[in-house]
Amino acid sequence: MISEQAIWIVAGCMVAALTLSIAGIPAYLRRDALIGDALSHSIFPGVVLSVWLFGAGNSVALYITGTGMGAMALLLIHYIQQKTIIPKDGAIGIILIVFFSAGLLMMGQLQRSGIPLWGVQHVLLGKAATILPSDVAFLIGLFSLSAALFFVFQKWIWLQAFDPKFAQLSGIPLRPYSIAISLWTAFVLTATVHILGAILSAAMLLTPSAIGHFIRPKPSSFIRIALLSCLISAIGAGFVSATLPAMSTGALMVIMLFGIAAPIFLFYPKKGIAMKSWARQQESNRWKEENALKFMFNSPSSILPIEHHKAAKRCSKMGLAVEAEPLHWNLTPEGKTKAERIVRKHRLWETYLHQQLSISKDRVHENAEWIEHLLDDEFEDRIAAELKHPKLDPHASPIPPKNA
Amino acid sequence: MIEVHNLTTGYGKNTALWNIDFSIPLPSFIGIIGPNGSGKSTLLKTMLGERKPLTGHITLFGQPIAQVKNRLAYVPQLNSVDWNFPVQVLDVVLMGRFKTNSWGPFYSKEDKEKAKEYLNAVGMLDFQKRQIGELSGGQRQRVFLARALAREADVLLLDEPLAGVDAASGERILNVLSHYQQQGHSIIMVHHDLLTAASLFDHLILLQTRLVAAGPSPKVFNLENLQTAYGTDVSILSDLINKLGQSPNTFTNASSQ
Repeated sequence: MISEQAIWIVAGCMVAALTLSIAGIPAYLRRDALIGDALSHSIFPGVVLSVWLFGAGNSVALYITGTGMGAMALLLIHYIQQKTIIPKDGAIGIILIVFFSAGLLMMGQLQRSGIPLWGVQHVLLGKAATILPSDVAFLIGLFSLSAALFFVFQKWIWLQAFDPKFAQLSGIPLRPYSIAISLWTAFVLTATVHILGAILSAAMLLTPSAIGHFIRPKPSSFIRIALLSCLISAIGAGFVSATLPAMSTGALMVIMLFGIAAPIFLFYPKKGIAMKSWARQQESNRWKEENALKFMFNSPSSILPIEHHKAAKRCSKMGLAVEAEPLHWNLTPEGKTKAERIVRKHRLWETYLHQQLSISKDRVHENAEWIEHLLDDEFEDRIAAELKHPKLDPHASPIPPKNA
Repeated sequence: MIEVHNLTTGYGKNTALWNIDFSIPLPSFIGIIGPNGSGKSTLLKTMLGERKPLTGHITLFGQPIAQVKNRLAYVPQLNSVDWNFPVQVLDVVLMGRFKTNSWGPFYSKEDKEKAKEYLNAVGMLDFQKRQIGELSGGQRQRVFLARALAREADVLLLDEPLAGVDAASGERILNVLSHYQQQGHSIIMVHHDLLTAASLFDHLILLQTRLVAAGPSPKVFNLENLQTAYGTDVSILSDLINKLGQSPNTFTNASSQ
């Protein structure tokens, strides 16, 4: 059974996550994603301050002090970066911890003086179970505004992030633009902290963009995939939060997003880390199999050396070779055709190096050992034509014809 | 007319350019040459307003650079951007059509036509839907050139556009540049290949932290000036002497290339 409250919670999570991912795209594109972490940590003392001065339920005060603290942190980061040799990531790391520590100290002071702190805990870890319909309405407004700003300023965002120098020359005032984007990010983070938690909402700024970028480097599909992945994790996290109110919603959402991201980063066709490593393994196996076939072709009555055994077994599974008696392998007709092609490429390349590039014949073998695995059919034909279809290589060994 | 008055720039105590002073009439095809570390890129960046001078100033068409930025277009060095950035070739060229006073979220139909026209000029129209990271170095440089051309600015500034570029792309780039110049635009370009400098440019600026010479190519490009700039580096100068010996007309037909 889905209760009415559960629907509000899921809706709140979805809108909050979407808002954060949209606000995160400009920062991600500017390679400024760490600014989200700096902001979410520096908002924390602002939230404590707001509870201290105005009580836990005052949203307007919360937005003002939260965004204000965020802005202050940004100014300090900018100042450190401009006036010292400390680079931006160093400045972010320092300011993030200083503001967060200040927040913790203030919270301790509040606890001692007996002021109720229930709002502050939620800000740290996030708790969607406390969400109200009015919060959802506010978030929808915030999302619409974010999406509209993103839509209207998309030319600016892409131009500035891709090449700031060119943007400046085109008349984009870089500093006001950067400040506006950072302030907007701070505001969006403040508005979503009590649902997702200060520390975890920063992850929603960055991760969806990273997933989108990884899968589709083209702009429009990049955004679609980013938003889709964040929606899926938000729906999942919302439902779990509704049924298990003790769980931190932000943590749930981040772990779910990671659950989406990790398999993509590992197994996405052609790009995934595991897929790439598998493709490399396949390629290396192919080289070894070709070398084993070549050995059987060149030395038909010899014992197969140990380094070819594994590859020979794979060849026998593919029907290219058979072990006639222990350690003596014979090529099948298909195996023979394949081996002839490899030998042909090897000897053609030796002939090419020797004839066209005048490289002495005792130096051409090593290079041909590599090229025989790499030469594709088109280049093989062109080299053969260029050499007028030679019958013998520089060592006077016969070059097998192509359609034998 | 581009005028540079008593220009000095530097980082901390290190001067990159010292008391540079010259003026060159526009439109022309201007090459900035000099040995490594002589301040070629610094001069270009100061012309763009990206670097602030310690003393002196630059005027273009009689006005300070800051007021005529919209009449400049720039082709940066290739290593200055992130090539994994999620953007397609046509979008990059469209960035050249960006104007702060057009508030719509999309580029206009006319902008798109212009962008395609310039992509075609650099021979990259077939690549318009490609992600920029998929292009080779020379193709990337041609796309950057198309983006700068799309600005239709009076002065095009380029920082070693032929560095790390294949021969076919290099030739294409030079063709497009000379065509652009013939339409009455100016080009200011950092160049490090002395052998082609004299025939390519009609005006030269020869730097060695200080200004060695600036003006029409035949007046600047002589052994005495080059020796002042490059010292007595035998290999460079003997190459040059050979080159000059072979083609005595190099100087005179400079601008007709």
